Amino acid sequence: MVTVITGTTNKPVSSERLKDYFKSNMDLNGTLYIGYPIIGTVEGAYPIDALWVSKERGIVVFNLVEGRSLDNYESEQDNSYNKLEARLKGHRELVKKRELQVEINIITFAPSVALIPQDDDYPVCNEDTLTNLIRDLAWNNPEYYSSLVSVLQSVSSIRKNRKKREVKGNESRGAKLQKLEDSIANLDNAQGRAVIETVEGVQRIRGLAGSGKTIVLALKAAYLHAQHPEWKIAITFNTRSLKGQFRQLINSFYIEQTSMEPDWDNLEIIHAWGSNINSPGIYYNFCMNNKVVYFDYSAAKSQYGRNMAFDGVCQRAISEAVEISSLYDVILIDEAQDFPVSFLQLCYKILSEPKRLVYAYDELQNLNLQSLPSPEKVFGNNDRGYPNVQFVFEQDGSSKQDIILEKCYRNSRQALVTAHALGFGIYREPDYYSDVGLVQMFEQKNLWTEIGYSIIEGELREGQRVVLARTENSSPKFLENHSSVEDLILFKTFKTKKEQDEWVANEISKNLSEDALRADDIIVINPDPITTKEAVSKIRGILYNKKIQSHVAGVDSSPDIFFDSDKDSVAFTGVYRAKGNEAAMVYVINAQDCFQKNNIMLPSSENAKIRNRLFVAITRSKAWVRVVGFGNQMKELEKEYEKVKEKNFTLDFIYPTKEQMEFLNIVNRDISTAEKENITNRRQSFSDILQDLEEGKIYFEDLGVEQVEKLQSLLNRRKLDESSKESIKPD
Amino acid sequence: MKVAKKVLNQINQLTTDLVKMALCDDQNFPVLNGSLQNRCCVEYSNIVVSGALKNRPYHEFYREIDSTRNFNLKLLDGALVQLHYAFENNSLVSHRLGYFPNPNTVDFQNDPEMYLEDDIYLDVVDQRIVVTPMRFDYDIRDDVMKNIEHPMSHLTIGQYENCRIPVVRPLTPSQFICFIIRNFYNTALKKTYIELQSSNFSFESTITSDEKKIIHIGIY
Repeated sequence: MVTVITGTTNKPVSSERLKDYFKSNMDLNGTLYIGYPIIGTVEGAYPIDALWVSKERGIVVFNLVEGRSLDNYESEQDNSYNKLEARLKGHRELVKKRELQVEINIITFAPSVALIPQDDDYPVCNEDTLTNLIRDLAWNNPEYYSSLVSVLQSVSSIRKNRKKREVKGNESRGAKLQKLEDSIANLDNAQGRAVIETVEGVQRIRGLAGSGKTIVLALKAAYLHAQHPEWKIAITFNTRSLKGQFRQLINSFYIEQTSMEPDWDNLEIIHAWGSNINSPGIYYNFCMNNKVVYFDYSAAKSQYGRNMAFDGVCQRAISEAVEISSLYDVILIDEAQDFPVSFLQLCYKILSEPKRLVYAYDELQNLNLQSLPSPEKVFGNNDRGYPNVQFVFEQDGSSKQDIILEKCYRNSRQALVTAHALGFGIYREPDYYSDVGLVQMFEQKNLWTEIGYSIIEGELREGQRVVLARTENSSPKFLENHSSVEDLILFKTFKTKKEQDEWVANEISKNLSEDALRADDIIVINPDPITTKEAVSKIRGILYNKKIQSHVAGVDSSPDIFFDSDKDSVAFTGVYRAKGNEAAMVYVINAQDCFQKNNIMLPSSENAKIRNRLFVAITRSKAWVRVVGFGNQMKELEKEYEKVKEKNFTLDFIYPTKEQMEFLNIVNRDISTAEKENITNRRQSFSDILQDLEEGKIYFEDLGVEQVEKLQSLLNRRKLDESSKESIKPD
Repeated sequence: MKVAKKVLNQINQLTTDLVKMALCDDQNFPVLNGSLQNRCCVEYSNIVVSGALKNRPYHEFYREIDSTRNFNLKLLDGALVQLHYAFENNSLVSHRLGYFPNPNTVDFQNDPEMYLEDDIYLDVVDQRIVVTPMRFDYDIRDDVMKNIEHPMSHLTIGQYENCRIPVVRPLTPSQFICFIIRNFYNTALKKTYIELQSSNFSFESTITSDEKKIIHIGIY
């Protein structure tokens, strides 16, 4: 059977017919690419219409003819041959002496042409004659097949372009890191496929932190732009500091593929919100184009509250717009889990048909605890009551519209399992009031396997014990083999903040002086986003006295750059700013804030929120992570980690029963947490008012006579209700 | 102690304090260039002296000195502080003390929580603010100094070409920094419990009797 990977193409009809041919000829093998590869040549980008690679026949390039006329297909065939040969010859593993060892065949596929010429040098065919043509092809060097496949699969050799490090010694951290970075350099098969696979509609890409969603999205934008330079493409995101990274990735990939610079007028890297013409955003553009009132953050916050600000303005903009004109042909959204559903809807509305929306999405990186509902719900129903968007699944359960990247390249197995164990509270001591240690759980059990865990004992069933572990398939070995477990992860509890601060400053100084790490290999993360500046100031003070440069990633005139490789300076950041960025050595400080003591008043969603911060912080680390803090709470957290280690980095727990699930925060549940937040907020402000009244800070008169009367009557009514209940209570 | 060394130490101490108070997000180390005996400067490690930007719009000027890290301190809202002192034979001959606030704070639309969650920003996110650069300059050269028109020590507000408000004497780093922090970062200052180091050390008065008769800035 031939695997078909459908990229984007300008020849939809003939592509479809070619695909159908391969789907119905089950005896053929290999992979068929539509709209891939694109070859960079001296004349610019040269896209190949379709390419079939198989062990039996080598490469067959199909030049597709959409209409009824063949024109000069002969010279097109020569052209395709020469361009592809030149490209493949660049790979030493495919060449022997001066000869390319790969058989390249060129066939023009012209399903709509009535009269097919018979020409052995320049073969032309339709569905009926293709079988005969293929039968005659043969490849004499099938031993090159696996090299050929990996050349074709590695869509790009581009990763982050940073300064090459100068490494002293073989065993230093710097040397280990260099090796690690080289190993990650190539895109794997699933990533390459996710880049190319194009859907004429909505597509979702899911994966863990470090599975390469951001790079896939960037390359996808560049790929689409290369194939369709006339399309208006937007790529948008939540974390400002990603902008520089996107631009760099797209630029280098585009040049690699096409030998040209991208046309930034048609490929916009754009914020979600935006504030003015110089700093535009999707929402801002929507407002301007549809002549609806634009809200800046302060205005939105006072209107809708802090948590609902963006949601509020997006909903309002959508409902106020009379006739929505389309602004883009493709929109790609990174970190979609951080946006309200209404923003996705807004994006959907401004897309031209067939509404190509790609959103990359990560369940567990979610800090706001708003999960995205299913695509059917997000994009609503059409006039006839059917969902606008519905994913189509193949027989094996996979879908081109729902791509899952399960390999995690950023974290070692140990770091990732630890992050999950702590994030879910797998080894947390059970609460005395609920008897549950777990803090949160996936709604769907199969999510565990989707994110790369294998069941090695028991089963995922209510009330049953289960042991989950990561395999080499989902967590490559080379990410953990470079150092001992004790060095990969270290938890440390100090008596005081001062001790912690001094230890961290000393370690950083050692990293720089002895370990051959660069300042931009290190980040220090404070999990509580609000206290960051103050929390990190003491460590920075110590570092300053040691003559080590440091900065707080934050308010910046060039906010789109997180790491500046020319800057010899250690980055300090709160957990929000850390998202989407990674470093070899990560210090998570004040981690005690991520352990909540037993508190019956604490809703599990709150506990989940602070533990998610820890998850995010730990998963920033490419190689080593230090989790430090002080006091008893930190000690408890360290104990949880010791259990993870004892269990040899597996998740060993009793799957919660339905009853226990009541106590947990459920990840990926389709309910609006906003409602809950609303109630909590009101309760808080009411108790504030009561306290102020009690302390005499405000008086009843201040609340308005009418309001007070209303309150009085409500309270009276309640009293009556209650006393009447009492009276009918049976004796 | 030689006066240059005193100034250097003071800048160092102030930088440490501001970092510890979480008022300073990025910084360069102060350095002493030249010899203490004859001519020397106290400046920051990657100083670029260039007049090329002199006539550029303020936001371009700001962006340039920011991206080249041409500053002693970068304060929490992105404002840049430059301190430059020159000495000859152990006495001060010039200083250039600049406060260059961030003209782009409106950019916080894209990441507003950073600012609004923390009330140390209260002063700087106020919408009514017009950011205003300020410079305290001091120069003893005879051909530069001109009674009233170009006082030896003067304050320039908002980069106005001929704005030179007389100042009684040259300013020490501590006098300058405290002025900036007290006036423009008051909320933040009150929130922290660390005190900025103050010092009794002060330069001699240089104001002329004519200059005293017009509005001037006193420091005694």
